[in-house]
Amino acid sequence: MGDDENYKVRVSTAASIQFRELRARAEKSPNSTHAKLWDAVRKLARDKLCLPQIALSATHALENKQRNFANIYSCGLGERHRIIYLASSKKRQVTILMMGFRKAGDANDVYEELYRRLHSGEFDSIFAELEVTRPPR
Amino acid sequence: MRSAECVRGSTVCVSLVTMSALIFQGDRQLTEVTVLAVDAQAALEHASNSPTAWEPTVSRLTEQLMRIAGLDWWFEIHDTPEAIEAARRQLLAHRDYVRSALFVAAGSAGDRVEWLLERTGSGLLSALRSQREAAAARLHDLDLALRFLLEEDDPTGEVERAFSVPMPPPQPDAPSAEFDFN
Repeated sequence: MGDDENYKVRVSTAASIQFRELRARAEKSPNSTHAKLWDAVRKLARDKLCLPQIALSATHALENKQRNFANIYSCGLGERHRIIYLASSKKRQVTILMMGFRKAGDANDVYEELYRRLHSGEFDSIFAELEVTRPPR
Repeated sequence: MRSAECVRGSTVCVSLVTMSALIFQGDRQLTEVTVLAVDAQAALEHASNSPTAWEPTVSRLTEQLMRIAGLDWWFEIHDTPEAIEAARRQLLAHRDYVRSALFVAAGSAGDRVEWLLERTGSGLLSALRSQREAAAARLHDLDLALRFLLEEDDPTGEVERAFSVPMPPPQPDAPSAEFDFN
């Protein structure tokens, strides 16, 4: 397998539910904010995260931004939305864990939600699948 | 479409595509301009000549917005850097007599519009609350957009739901799956 081959992009169960909901809203209202957001998600997932240099970009790494988020990446969609994902160069795969709304200081902030879900063990199988070290609980 | 009294009103600029909006509470010099344009470039050209030209086709949403009192300057702002920059230049050119301004955007235009807002002064927002309330009765989405940008209290989560996708309940630990993004 050559190093220039694109990564596979997969999704968690949570992300799959979110994306189906977002796609349904976008199809219902083609000019809506949700339609724009869905378009951005599609382009990111389909055209960008598959590229190793983007998937593994240091600017997306959360470890230097948030405590205990080592090996986790975050990519912005506009100013307020974030796509959270894991990336494995060994497995040549990206797995999107969730998307969320950046609202610093709020209980529903995307990173607060990520923190809760990491501690619940919701994504443990995905860490194992990618052979990526899970942040300590 | 507008009465003479509305000439003394404020100015609203809305992108039908992005739900971006600009609202100006302008002085007479500004409000004498009545423009409806379907793209930013046309709006700027019209505004610079103070025309009263109207596009022949007006969407239903546009008509609704124009019924909100005092809409007399209208930009459709696409979320392209060129369009945002054009709006920025236009605003800065009028900054000495623009009394208040509100910039609302959802999606990728949001950060640029917020950037504009920061540089035009926080005191510009106060006069717009009543404007927003007037708009709410007629255009629910615009009201949501304004509240979104203003980051007002959102006790019911209505604003957040309008601009985001809710997280599902915690899912059982499960492996990843493919997803068709096409």
